[in-house]
Amino acid sequence: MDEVKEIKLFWKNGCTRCPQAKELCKKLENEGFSVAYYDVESVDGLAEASFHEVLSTPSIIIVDGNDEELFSYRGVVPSYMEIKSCLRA
Amino acid sequence: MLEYGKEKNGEKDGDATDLALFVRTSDEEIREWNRNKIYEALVRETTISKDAARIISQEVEKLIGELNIKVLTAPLIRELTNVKLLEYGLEDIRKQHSRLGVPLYDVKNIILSQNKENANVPHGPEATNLTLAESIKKQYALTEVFSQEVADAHMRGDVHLHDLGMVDRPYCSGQNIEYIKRFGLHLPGALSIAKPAKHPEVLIEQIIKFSAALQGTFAGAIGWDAFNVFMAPYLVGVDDTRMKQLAQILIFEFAQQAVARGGQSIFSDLNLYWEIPKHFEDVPAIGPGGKFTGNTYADYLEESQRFVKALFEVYREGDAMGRPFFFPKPDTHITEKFFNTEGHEEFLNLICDVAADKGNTYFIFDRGSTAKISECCRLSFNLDEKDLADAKEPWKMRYSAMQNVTVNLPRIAYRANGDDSKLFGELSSALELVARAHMQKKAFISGLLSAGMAGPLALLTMDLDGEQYYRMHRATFLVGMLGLNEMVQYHTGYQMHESKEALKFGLKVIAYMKKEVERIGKENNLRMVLEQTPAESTAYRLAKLDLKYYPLQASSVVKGSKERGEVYYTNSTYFNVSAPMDPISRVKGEGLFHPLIEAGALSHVWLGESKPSAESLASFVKKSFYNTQNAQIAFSPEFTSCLDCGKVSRGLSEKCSYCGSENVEGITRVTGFFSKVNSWNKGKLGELKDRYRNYGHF
Ligand SMILES: [Zn+2]
Repeated sequence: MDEVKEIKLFWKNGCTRCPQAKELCKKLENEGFSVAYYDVESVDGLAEASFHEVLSTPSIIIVDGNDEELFSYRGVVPSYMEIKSCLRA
Repeated sequence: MLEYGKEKNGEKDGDATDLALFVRTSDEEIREWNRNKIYEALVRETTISKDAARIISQEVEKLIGELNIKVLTAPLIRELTNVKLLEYGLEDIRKQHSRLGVPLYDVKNIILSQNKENANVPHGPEATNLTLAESIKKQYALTEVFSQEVADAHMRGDVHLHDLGMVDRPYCSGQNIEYIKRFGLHLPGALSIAKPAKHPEVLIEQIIKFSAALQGTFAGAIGWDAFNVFMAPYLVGVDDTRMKQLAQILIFEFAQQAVARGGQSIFSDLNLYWEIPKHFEDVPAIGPGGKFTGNTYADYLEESQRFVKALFEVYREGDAMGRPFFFPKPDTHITEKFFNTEGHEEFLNLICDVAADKGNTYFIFDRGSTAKISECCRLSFNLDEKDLADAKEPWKMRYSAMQNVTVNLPRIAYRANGDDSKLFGELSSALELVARAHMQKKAFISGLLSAGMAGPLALLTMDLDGEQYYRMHRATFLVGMLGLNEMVQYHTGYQMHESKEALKFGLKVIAYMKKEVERIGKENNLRMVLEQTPAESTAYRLAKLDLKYYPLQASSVVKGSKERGEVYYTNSTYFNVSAPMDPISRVKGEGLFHPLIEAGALSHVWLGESKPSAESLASFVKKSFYNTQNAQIAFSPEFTSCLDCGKVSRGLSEKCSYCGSENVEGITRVTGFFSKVNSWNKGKLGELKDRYRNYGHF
């Protein structure tokens, strides 16, 4: 598998599981992963969400250096262990 | 008039009779010269003061006296009067006093030679009536209906106001045959009224006539929702032979309506389903005689499926020469439920066979819980909560787009000259202007509707179900876009298929437009939504205008051939039509934009002369449904139809491949519909040459 370049979190206000997903991403960020946060109600967030065909929040998309998707969690929040095992793979 | 009499009495005799002239008037008479006619017209038509009107009329008389004119006509007097008004600085009065019309040279051309600018208007007395009327209504629209600011923006090509020649009609409509089943054919002002139909043949005739009546009050497409589903209660016990015949009657009647109305077809859309759509399952069914049958639509699955199969068998056969039917368009909805309904494989193969052979089938993807009624080339509406409530009483499901205004995106990029914030600022200004154009059109149509049964839009004011047929509160106002690809190319240096950054910038522009259109719509209490413009002539017109006003900038991105004058911008949010992309990448890539474009989007797969197998298209359709966000796809083959031997061959060629005759017609999709290539405008001919034809991909 190609190297993980960035973790993208798509969130919006009023979404019940978004805070949980944000918390998870903060934790990964503290571990040194590069994380970008996109509010899908902003123009940039909506454009980026469209690019990755994100239709629900929260969604986490992990991309390589070419902005190609390596794996994703759409509309679901993975456990810390789950996402870590994928990031390590 | 009384005032005028008084003034006339006050004038000295002789003033007005010095000229021994006769005037050819516009009501076909020859009258003696009378200066007061000028005065009367000015006072009646404009806000000029009486003193000024008197002076102008005296001045005009003096001028005519000096000119030694042999044949004096009313239009000439009006022109001379207008010149005087300008000399006196009364420009606003001059505008009110304008004469709308067509130069002699143009009228002669219109009557005597074929119209090459519009693919849908063949030549004939009825067609030239249409052209002449549209030309005058267009002038009227730009002078009276829209503000100077909006009219100028259209004429400069900042935006394009669609169907100005039909300014006195809303743009397009989608509805349900339940209205006809329930109320019969009961049109305002009609000489005879028909009760609800008892037999399917009669129902079909009523639907066709109603469609023709609607065509007379809308500028564009007439769509029918879930057509086969709502026909079904009339088809109980109908055997296969009659079923096929009914399908033939329906398609041929729609396809051949072009004999009326100057050869313009009814832009008809039939929305079709293999399953009974969820939102209609429990709806009480209306059957023969307009009576509720006691069943719900879920009980008519079998008849509904048999009918839709018969329709596609007719599409597969084509017309008497084996050519594809241009209309009605079969808009087939592909949903989760489609794939869970028995027999879907076989049906998918049938409609893909039609797509491969004739190209007719449109595949409309309704994913998740969305349900769409699709009406014209692109237009579709996502059914929201209110619509789903309407679905319980389907005759109420009447939707319309009031108007379509397209923004010239490349020009915005030229003006921004590489500056992001300037680009988005200009885009907002353009969208604000579009909103003003919509408000003006809305006010104009509201005025026509308020005249009720005595007004020009009587049909739309009928209220057989207790509500006006035209539901203004549900009308949408479309905002189209043209040349996103060239905008992005000018701004970033790359076309959208060439770089991810360019593609992302394109998405940002459309996301920004979506947010802005929502904001501006809310502020003006207008339901504004984005739509992919079916830019049949706009792509050519705006490219030409930009080459004139922004020659350096436009030259660097415009598509087609400048030498031949066959220039165009890429339609709406499409990728460059000539880019050699495999079709699934194109459908996926173009599909990224589709969720942002609420009122409908489409990807074309140009087939050229190739004829893929039904199975390969079926698997492509499945992939498109599950692996992309694309809203709608259509496959477009090309045909050459020989007018001498009557045979049809695949691909576009100069000569008939059977008999060698050069008396041939090319046929393929111009934008969202099929037409004859020899009637296309130059821009579309340029595009046709560039189209990447996907050989070897299926
Ligand atoms: Zn031939």
